[in-house]
Amino acid sequence: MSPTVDLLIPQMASGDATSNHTRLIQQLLEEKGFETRVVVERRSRSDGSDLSVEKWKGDARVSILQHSIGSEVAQFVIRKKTPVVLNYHNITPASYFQAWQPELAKSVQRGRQQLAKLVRLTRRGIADSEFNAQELRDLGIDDVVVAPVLWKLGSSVPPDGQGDSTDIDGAGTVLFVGRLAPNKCQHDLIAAFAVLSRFRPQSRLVLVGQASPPQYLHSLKSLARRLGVHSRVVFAGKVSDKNLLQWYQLSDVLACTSEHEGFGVPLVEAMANGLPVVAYDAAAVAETVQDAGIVIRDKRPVTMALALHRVLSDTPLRQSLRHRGVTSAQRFDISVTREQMWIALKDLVEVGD
Amino acid sequence: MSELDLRQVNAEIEADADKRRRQDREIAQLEQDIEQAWADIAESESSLHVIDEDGDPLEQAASLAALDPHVPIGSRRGLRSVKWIIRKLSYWYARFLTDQFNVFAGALIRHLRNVETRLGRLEGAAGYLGDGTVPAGFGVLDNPPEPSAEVVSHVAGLAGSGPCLVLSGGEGAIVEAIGQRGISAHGVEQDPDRVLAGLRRRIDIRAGGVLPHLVGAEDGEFATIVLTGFVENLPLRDLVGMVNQASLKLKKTGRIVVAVADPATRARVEAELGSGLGISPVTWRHLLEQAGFDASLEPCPDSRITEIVVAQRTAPPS
Repeated sequence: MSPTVDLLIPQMASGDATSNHTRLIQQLLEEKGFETRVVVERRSRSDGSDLSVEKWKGDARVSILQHSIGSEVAQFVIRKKTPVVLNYHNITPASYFQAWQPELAKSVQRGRQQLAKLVRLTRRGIADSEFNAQELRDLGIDDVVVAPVLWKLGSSVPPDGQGDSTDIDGAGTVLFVGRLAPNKCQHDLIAAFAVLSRFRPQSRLVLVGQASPPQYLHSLKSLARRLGVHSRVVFAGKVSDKNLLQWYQLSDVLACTSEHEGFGVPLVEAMANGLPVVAYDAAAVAETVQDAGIVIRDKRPVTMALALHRVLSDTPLRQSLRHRGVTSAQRFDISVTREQMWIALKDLVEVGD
Repeated sequence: MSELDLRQVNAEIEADADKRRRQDREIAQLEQDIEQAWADIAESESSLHVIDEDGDPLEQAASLAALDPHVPIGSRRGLRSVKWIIRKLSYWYARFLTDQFNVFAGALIRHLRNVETRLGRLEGAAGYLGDGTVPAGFGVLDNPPEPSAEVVSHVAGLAGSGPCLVLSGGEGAIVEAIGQRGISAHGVEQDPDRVLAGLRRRIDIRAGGVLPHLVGAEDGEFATIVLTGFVENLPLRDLVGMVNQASLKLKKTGRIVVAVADPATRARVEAELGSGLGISPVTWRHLLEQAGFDASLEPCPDSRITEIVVAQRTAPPS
């Protein structure tokens, strides 16, 4: 017998935000008493319970498709003409990858083409952010609900957001968390850091995240070396959840120069951990940060560096951002976002019960 | 604090940036130089295929050679049935072919591994150590333990009055002890976990290789340079380069302090694995004397590092 809900995703991978999100939706629905099944393009060796999309019949009451890149799962949905709930995480424009990783550029281009075909099959769109929701509406999907990514927010900061009020002197640790990728523009952050080093010679930049593509990481290292800041830039790579929490606790400000963010999980994690945020105003960034961080419209190195310098030097500002961030991050607490997701799915999965 | 107007803060930051660009030519030029630097790098490196330098080439070859017949191949509308039949027919044949190819690739890789093993034996017999590094997972040779309290205290007491650099400073115990004496000090460490541990304690530990950091420093910048940690597992060639560089970066009256374990005290397995890596304190003294230092050995009450080499400059750097 077919389950009530099929959750379709290209691949389940540990440490992947969309995979965690899918598992949490599955958990939510099963707690509500619905039978679920995860359908994947390629089954992971560790978890044999997921169904390969090649054996998928598309006969569940509701099928929820996670879409952020071109995939065979989406292709099967289109081929079978199965109505789906489209959980849209946005697709990075191909232009960012064309020069660095042409195969990835093709894949995201394919994702856009599939998105256009999925419009007529979409029963409801669920978007992480208003920014993503607007994109779905512009494509012609009328029924769109905003429900953020589900994840368990790690935090060690008391709810009142009070804490560190120490002066940082000439130092300061600037943190970036996320894939090292051309659309995230870490080269702009290194450029800003080179200027910041003029004002704060003891400061450090820590980049946490896996490189994709590797050539980009190579270029970032070359840039840091050419600008003479390589000894103060730490490429921490992919880290465990525990280590990530330590980096949030250890750092003094989170910087984001990304030009394309459909939501921005690290922004929220930083806020939840009492870390002030300085970010470039692009895509969904301003919507996620709201009034809990410095969101600037100009990310030229001097402007970005001065924004970081201001946050590092101005203790009352830092304290205020810390307090606002902790409060603001509560919007994305799992208890809140689960409820939002349930509201988004309730009427569809309960039909016929 | 009173209600903060972030729009006002943003406006102030942007106005300040514009003002600096207008008034400070150096800042404006720096911004242009940075932009040009990235344009050059991105143009030259974006299309390069960079192979993972840390990966084993044979593993990469094995991975690339293995074809997977299970990869879905997609479909277009109208061709669904035709593709289904072709797919079913071709599936077993493709699987047969890929199995054959994988067996062939596996055999090839096995042969290459045999060749590599034989070459390794030949290199070992000839005393050649390749790139001079020890693979991970070989105990104390990977990365020596943090220095004991006795070593930290002894080395800190030897720091001169000017800026101090600790090469391979681990989690920063020596840097911290020197700093507590009112002397400006920072360390360099290549192990990210140790850098993280040091940063957590707000110690000035910088990430990176010791030799590149030393090369990048200003001439005559330091009163004291401490060599410890990973330095004890470097080949002689690197150690000589390090001494020459350290000599350049020292002030006229500067000193080099070497706190490393004697390779002669290594257990048999470690001694064989680390053959050719590291030198004894006595050899360090000789090396430093050859480089124009007045070097001496000081006993240290530690089970690993029993002697510390103190080298005072007596001749100007060549």
